[in-house]
Amino acid sequence: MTDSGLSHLLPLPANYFHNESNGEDWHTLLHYRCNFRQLSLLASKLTKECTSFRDSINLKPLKFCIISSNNSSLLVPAIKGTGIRYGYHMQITEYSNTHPLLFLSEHQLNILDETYDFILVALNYEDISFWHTDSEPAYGINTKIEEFVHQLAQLQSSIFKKTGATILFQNIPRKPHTIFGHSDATITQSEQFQLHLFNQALVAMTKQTSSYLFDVASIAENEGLNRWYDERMWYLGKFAFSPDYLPLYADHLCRIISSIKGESRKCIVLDLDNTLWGGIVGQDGLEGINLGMGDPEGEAFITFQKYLLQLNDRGVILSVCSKNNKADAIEVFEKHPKILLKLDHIACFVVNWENKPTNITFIANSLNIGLESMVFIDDNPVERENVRRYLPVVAVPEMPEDPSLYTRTLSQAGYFELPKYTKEDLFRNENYQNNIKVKKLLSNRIDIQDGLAAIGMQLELKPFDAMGRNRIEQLINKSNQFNLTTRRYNNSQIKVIEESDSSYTLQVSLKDKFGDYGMISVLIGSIENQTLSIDTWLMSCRAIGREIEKAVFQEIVNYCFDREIKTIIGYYIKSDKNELVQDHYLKMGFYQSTIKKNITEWKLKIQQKNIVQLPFKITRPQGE
Amino acid sequence: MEIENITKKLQLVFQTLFDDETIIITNDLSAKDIQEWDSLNNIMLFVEIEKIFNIHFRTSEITKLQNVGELIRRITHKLSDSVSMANS
Repeated sequence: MTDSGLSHLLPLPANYFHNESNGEDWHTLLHYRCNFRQLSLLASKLTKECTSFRDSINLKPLKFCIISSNNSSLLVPAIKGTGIRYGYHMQITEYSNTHPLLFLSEHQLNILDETYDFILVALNYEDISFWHTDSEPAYGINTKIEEFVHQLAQLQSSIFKKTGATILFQNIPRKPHTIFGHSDATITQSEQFQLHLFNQALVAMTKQTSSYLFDVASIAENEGLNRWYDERMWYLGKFAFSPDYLPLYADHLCRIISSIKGESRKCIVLDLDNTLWGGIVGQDGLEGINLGMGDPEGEAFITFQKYLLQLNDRGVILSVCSKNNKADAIEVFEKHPKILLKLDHIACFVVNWENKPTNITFIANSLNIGLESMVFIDDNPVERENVRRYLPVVAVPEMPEDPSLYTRTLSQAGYFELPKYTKEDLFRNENYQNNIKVKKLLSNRIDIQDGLAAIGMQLELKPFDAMGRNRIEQLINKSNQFNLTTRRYNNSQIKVIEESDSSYTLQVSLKDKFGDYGMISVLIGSIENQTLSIDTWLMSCRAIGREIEKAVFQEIVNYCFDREIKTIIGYYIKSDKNELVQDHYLKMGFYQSTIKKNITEWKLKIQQKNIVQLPFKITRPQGE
Repeated sequence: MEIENITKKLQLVFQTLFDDETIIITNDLSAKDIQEWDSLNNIMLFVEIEKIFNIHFRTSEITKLQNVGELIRRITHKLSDSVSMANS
């Protein structure tokens, strides 16, 4: 297998397409890596007559556009086929052999369809022509890079204005040749040095704008530049990199797309024996298991635990699902001198002799997250197969036999892609653990409100603003359970809502004595004819059960009363996941006015202020 | 590797690539005879063959291929080269 970056996937069985029942559910495809031929076949199944295939697998439509000055014709089937594995039916338009900067002209820009969800600006090595300038001083070269990146920034802003699409820029892997040898890295005129500067400037640009980075340079580096570039393919067909890597390239692209759409995974379910340490604790005993310095494999397990801790630090939830005697397992966590993972890091610890699919479902339920957010890690192929069969939406990486490769395999599988960094991501995990502490505290109390008051909750309520927009976008696209209408909006749509005069918006942040949870609830309404209609009302699942919705409700009612708005209309649109809020408006005192298909409309006449005592300290900072 | 064996493997490559199980390859078969055998699929054909036989073609070998007979000769030649290298 050339692209070792996909080694966590099983090879697609050769007869997969002969079996008619396969392909009816894209979830089974999730576990397989396809070569370019197979991806093309999948893609053509979508394009051709197979409407039954399309309907039966229930894919989400997504409009995608590639702009590249090279030949991107092979990218299309690769991306389309891979998209199916991620649950998308992608319609792809490509502007091959078109230098991206051409789209700076009004004429070229007008070609672009306004309905694209994503646009990839696939920059390649040949787009950078500014280094044939050996007579110029270094600062001149830097200016050229700055100029180019500045133009790309303009490109991003004009494409964004025209289409509202999410724009991805790919960076450029260096070529495996040098001019000065080792000194290339130190000589500012060398291509290598300039490409490095360019890639850095591109990163800065994507950080400052609403665009995203597609880090192709890292993929190429992981796989090896000598293999990434196949010069023959450039001369033969202007293909930017070796076709061997099309599946890997497409997979990385789809990861980014799904992470921007809020579909990255959130939780790892870990087996114990031969996954976190070598040997079987039930047989070998606490002293007999292999973990820690002094033994090569023991060191590998330590590295893997370290990596898991790093993921945990950035907000990935860790849980345990193992067939063991619970006491044996706990003893390792509490008493082994070398173990890095502690029980405190494990949000849900399930050790019993029950089958794993049942246990994983239990873990998902107790953590209040969906199975599609979970990754199951087990060294035992039988357990892996079982979970794949009964819980096809759970990601199950093919773990290598050698624990030395565990960390690499999990990392390169890319389950936890983070598209843009927000403050909340840093604290998320702390929040899950705090939530468990809060639950414990609450369960000791009889009266919920007293319990809530005891944890010193502070709510901050304010209208949407530019500062909060990224997090608002994240919440709108990620929240499923407490989400009345599950309407998804992208960054530019949110900006429009934020700036509209008829909008009524709220972003709600929460703090308590255990931690700062950041923004946890969002509301979008619009006011017309003395009526407030609530388009979107959602809350992050980590804040459910704290009566925050009551505070938000009070806020809305009092706002309406002060402005003589007479009626509030709310909607409930049933989805697979939002049963939790089915009676939300009923509980708030609304009456049901109409039901159309899966949409229920609720109304409330406002006669007086709402002044129920709630367990929050509420602040309303002045808008910018 | 025997010529028949090479031909058998190659035939499968053609059948899969052009999505046509009825293709029978002969020495005279060339790009003119298969409608989908355009320059793009010619490249993909070589990409597949390189992977299956673990051999490497020069750029000009890819662009100047006359027919399947020549292709089989080149594959046979490359395979025997790699065998003699392994034995030396």
